[in-house]
Amino acid sequence: MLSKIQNTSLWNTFRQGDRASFQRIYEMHARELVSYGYRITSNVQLIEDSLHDLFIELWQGRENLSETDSIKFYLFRSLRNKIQRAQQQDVFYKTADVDQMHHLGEEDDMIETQWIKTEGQEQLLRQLKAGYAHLSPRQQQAIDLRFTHHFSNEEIARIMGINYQSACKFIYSALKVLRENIRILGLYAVLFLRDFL
Amino acid sequence: MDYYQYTTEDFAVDDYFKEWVCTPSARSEAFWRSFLTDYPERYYQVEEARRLVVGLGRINQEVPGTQVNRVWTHIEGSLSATEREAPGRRFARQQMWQLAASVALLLTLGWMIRSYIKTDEPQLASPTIQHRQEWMEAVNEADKIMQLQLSDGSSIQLGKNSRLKYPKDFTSTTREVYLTGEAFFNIQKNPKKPFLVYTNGLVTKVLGTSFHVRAPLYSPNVTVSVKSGRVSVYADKPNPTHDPEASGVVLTPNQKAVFQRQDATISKALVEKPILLIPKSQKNLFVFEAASAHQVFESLEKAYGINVVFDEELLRNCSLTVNLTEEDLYQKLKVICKVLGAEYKLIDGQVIIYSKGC
Repeated sequence: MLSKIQNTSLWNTFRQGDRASFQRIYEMHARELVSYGYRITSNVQLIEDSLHDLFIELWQGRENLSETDSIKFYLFRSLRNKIQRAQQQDVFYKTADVDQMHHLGEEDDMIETQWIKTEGQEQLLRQLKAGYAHLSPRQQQAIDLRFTHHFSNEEIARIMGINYQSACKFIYSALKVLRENIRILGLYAVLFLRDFL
Repeated sequence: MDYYQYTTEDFAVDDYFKEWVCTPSARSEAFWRSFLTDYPERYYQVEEARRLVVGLGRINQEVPGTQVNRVWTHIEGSLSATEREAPGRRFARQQMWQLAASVALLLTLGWMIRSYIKTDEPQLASPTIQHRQEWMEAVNEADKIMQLQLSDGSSIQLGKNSRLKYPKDFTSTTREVYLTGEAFFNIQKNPKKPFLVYTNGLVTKVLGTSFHVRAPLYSPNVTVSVKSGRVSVYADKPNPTHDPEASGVVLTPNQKAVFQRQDATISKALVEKPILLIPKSQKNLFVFEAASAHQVFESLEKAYGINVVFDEELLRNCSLTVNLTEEDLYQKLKVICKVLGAEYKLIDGQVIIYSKGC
């Protein structure tokens, strides 16, 4: 992770036309942008095209860009706008929409981190995924922005194009669902223990 | 802060709490430890919230690097394509603007102009997804040279820490590749499809020849050295009014071009180790017996494909008897100049002889 100052200077050298800085920015953020894209649409082609167009426009319009202290925030918001605009305009992209998708499931376990293998945490993750699947797409999006991409509630509101209160509500209500999901088993354990005694 | 009242959800959305879970510092660690010591009955909420934060941070599967690399290849391809088209487009838009402005003036419909401006805000050239070729990328991270064979039969030796992007098949009218780092190119001749190497703002154009390109990622310059054939080198700066190639340089064997990225200037020089362009059997070309200066320099020109500039009038009476079979070009020049009481300088890829005559 780069410090704030390093980030700003990277952004500035890029704005002055440094291709290496441009590539560095891409390399730093492309993966998380794609990951976020999956929260908005299941159409891989749309995500890749939007990412492509986003960086092309970024490069070509670099002289008109202002200073920013959060490149990441800027990129996330731009990507979301791009995908949404494309979805609204293009019938072709509309076909695969976020509502019919259940992205997380058994088939997703291809890239398992070392972390999951630790006992107990594997179970926790399974429970969380089950709860997560019950969330609305917008709740999932807000949760991801908060816990995977580490944005503040205010930034999340601006990225998603909703007001601050709604963003907080999405996150809070989602957490409630998730917490209940992970608690049930804990509760069983307690009940079981009481029966035993 | 009244963390005592906090529920699991409250903790999980709290910035300071999340920071402790994700990137604990000595300070936050101390704070939350002491909180739990003071209020052990809140342990359950804290632990639950911690599990939420940790778990949710890992709930998403990782995006494979190959996917983003593929998109990047498209981005670079599109950028170089649009960069070569863009100025023309901008020019056309300017003309359209002038037309729009004069029409508007005639009609004096001020409000109409304003709406025109609105719709024609600096719109970015739409990216060229449609003419995507299938691009390949070779990345050499190993400690030795990588051998590549392109679909047109050209072979490339890719240096360490270098990458080359090239189309799987050369379907367009030119053969274009993108190099970062260093490579030696041996290009199959095809006068109908020039071969272009794009590096850090410099274009190297050939029809069929062998040459070496050195363009490290962060280096301020790019060097192109020619082994055989003719190579045209010019800045990658499209210009609608004149061909950028016209302001470039043409290189012949044993010459190199150094491109300074900063000011986009190209200078010509001789390579560090010029090689003989004639068969080894003709080496006795350098055995001179009472040879005129003219003869000596002419054989150098012929053997190394270089240009030697000297004042024929001044050197008319000079003659040499010397055997220079083993020496390289610079050693030969040194010896010759010593005998002639002259000096030489390398300027613009040529050898200039300064002499006061014999």
